[in-house]
Amino acid sequence: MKHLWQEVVKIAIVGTERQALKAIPPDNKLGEILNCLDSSDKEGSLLSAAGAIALYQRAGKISLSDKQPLQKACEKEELLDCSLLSRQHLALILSGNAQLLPEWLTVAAAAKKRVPSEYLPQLLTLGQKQSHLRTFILPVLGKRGLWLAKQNPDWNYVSSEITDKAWQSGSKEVRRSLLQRLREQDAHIAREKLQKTWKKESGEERASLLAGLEINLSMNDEPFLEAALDDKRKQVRDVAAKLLSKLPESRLCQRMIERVRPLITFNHNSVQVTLPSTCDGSAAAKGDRQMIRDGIDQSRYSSALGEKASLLLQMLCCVPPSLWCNNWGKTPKQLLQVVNGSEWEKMLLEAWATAALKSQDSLFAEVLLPDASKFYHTFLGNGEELVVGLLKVLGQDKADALILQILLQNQGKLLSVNHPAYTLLKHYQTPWSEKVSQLVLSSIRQYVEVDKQWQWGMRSLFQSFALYMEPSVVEAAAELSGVVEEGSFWQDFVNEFLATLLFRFEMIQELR
Amino acid sequence: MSAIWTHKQIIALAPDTTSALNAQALAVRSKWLSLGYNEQVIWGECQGSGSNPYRTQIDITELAFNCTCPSRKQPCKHAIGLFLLFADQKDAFTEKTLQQLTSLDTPKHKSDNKTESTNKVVDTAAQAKRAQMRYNKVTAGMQDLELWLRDLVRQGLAVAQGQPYSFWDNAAARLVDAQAPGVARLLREMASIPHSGIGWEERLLTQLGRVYLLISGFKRLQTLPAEMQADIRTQIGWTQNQEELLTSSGVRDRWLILAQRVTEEDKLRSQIYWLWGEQSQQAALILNFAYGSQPLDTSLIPGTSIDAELVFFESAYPLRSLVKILHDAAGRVDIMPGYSSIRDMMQAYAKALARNPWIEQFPVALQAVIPVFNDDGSCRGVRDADGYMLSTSGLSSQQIWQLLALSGGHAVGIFGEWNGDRFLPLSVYANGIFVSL
Repeated sequence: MKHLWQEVVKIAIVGTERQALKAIPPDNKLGEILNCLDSSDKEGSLLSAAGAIALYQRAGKISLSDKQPLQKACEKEELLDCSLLSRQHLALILSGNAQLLPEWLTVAAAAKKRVPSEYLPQLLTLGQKQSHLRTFILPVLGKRGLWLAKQNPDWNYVSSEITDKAWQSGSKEVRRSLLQRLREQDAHIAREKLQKTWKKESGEERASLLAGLEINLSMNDEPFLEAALDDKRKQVRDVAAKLLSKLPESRLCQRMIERVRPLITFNHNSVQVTLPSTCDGSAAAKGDRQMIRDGIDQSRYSSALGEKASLLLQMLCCVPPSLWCNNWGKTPKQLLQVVNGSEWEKMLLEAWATAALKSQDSLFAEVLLPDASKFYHTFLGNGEELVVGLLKVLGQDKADALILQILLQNQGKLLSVNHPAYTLLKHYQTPWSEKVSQLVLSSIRQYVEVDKQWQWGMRSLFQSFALYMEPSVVEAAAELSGVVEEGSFWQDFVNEFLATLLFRFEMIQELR
Repeated sequence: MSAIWTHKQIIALAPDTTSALNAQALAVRSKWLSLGYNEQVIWGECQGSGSNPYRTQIDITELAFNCTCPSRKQPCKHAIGLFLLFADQKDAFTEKTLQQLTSLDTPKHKSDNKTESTNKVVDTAAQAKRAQMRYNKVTAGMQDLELWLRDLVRQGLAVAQGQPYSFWDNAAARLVDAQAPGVARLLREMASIPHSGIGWEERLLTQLGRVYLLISGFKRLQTLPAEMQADIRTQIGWTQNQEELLTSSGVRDRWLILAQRVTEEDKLRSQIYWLWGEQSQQAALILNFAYGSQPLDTSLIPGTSIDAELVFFESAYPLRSLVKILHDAAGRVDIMPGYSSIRDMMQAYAKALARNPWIEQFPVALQAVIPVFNDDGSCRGVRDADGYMLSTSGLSSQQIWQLLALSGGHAVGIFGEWNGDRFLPLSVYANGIFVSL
């Protein structure tokens, strides 16, 4: 059979004018057909034979028998499957509403549900590209997700195994994420692993890997970090100084305290500030070299503040604010009252806010946040980071209570850039309580009702609120479409705002 | 209105997320100036950004949408919004008779292929004359092709390999002129074979043999059974009259919609739907075309089923069909029908080829197969419980991962197309869930 076909092909290649088909047909149905061909018609009989044999082979094709051992199948799931509607919600989110993804994943995880298998590849790839999503993704992968991730090296961030091969030959990003994962499991072992290869790493690798120690940072890391302050590379030294400044007990923080103690004094119920002399690295002064070693950087300079004050600000940022309370016998609240309206208020607030974030001081966070607008436009340009960070330090419940309190105190006041809660609401990016949501909703209604024009900034801010408001206010929010005027500045906003809220409402209902 | 539509089913009709979100915002009473319905149609007037309200209309039985808004999306947000509102608050709609609705345009019926029959006076004599003229042209074209083909094998395939692209293209163009577009396509497909690497001679000869078989069949067309004649005519490029077809009786069944596939060539998009009859255990192909920005049919949703009467185009192995009557949108696909083993499937394929040797894509539903993978992450094929395997091809890496995710190493139901050599999976049924790849 095969022989016959090859014979036909051979003649076709050279052409019938050179050779004619003289094969013996097989003794079967195909042969019967081939026997009927007119062999005097060289071309016709060749083409007919080719057509018949090819078709015969195609119809009679025997499928392959696969002998290779099968891969181990995935185990039975422990998490629940989600409903069809939840699947559709997830599909909508993945096809262009990514900002809703963390919420879907969080609610699903709380309800002990898993991501439907068909979305696993897309989600695992998202986690590969956007590492901040990983904490949301991991709890809802289910057995299937873990099984699948094992098959693709790109998704190895999922597995808890850290292979030596990946550690030795992985890219900078892979190695850093390996180290971070190991830090989560065992901070001590992770640091030791880094120390072992430390001397062989390039400067860039050292900086990248060292930053990974931020996870589960503790005083156990202090000696290693202190030594890293003498690294050849500035990049590495900066990372080390930054991490040490988060450890109030560290030698670096203690040195900072010694530096600023003579400069900040408390006298006659006011805070007196003495500016330091400039810090010149080329000068022989040992103190200056020490300061530079501790990460004080003369080039980080705010013209509004001046050279010397900028240095002081950097130093103050490394001093836990509780120190001043203890030294002067004041509560954080009293401290803020003392500096209120003073010459150095803005600088001190920024320094305390930064230091409170570094030392995770929730007492300070609570008193600083209501005054966030005073330090939001910081000298060092990190206002957003400070507000978001301090809200996190305070914790969900307390943050919500604080914002609620401010809103209640200012009821009737238009929610604008000058509203005391404005800065906080703008950065309050975790689910809001129902009460906060209701109050903000009525503020939004004020805008819509009087059809305030040209409020582009407020309109887009309000739009983002729909992502965090408690979705049960959707019914009250629906009234907005009754008060909005046809074709007004606010009409599209109301439509979109309601659509987002309604979507979240249904999404959460369906997952729970 | 025969089926009760749920929110999720309606949302699934939206062409994209933005439409879905916008539509939800439009599904409120206050957006609509007027609302009405009868058993077949829902309609409403929506105040949009223009000066005149948009008139939106939905034919529920045919799932055809019509709206005067400028949006190119099909269906537009107004149509989905209106549909959602109807599902939520039927009370808000006034019931009207069809006559009261005639002031509105009739919706675009998209499930048929727009063979407008209005006011056409059928002139049978002229028609027969035109048909005879075409037949003569095709006959001449096929004779010309036979000479060309004989010439080719006389000189040998080695010579043909040296021919430029125009050698094939000119031959194809002559066939287009001869009104035989189907054969022209076969020739164009041949043009790339001589440069397709190892085994090209066999592939080219197979295709040549196939065309010659068509020529021989056409030469003695009148002596063949009617169904075989139809297959040869279809392959050459004759189309069957769809209006006439719709008058013949069809097969009523619960048809599972197992796959949808769209291909684009130049500006012509072709859409294939594969259906499988639950009772008849028969596969059906529905083919639609759209030019340029023309919307394609969206009324059939893979993963759902319809209770419908389908009429099949005449063929010795009927596959292509039209929806004659849609009785009901019945529900979801809750089973993967088809063959229980690859052997059974191969036998069915052989039988199908014996009846219609021109079948290019054979619909294959396999109840339980395991997708198997190579270490490099490529898909080796699908394997049944007996260890037989179909090699796969044509899957994107995203689809391969999805297939792996859905199976988890277990057997799943898979529907796809078999071209005699490779299997292209199109949809999967696993753990009670249907997913299009």
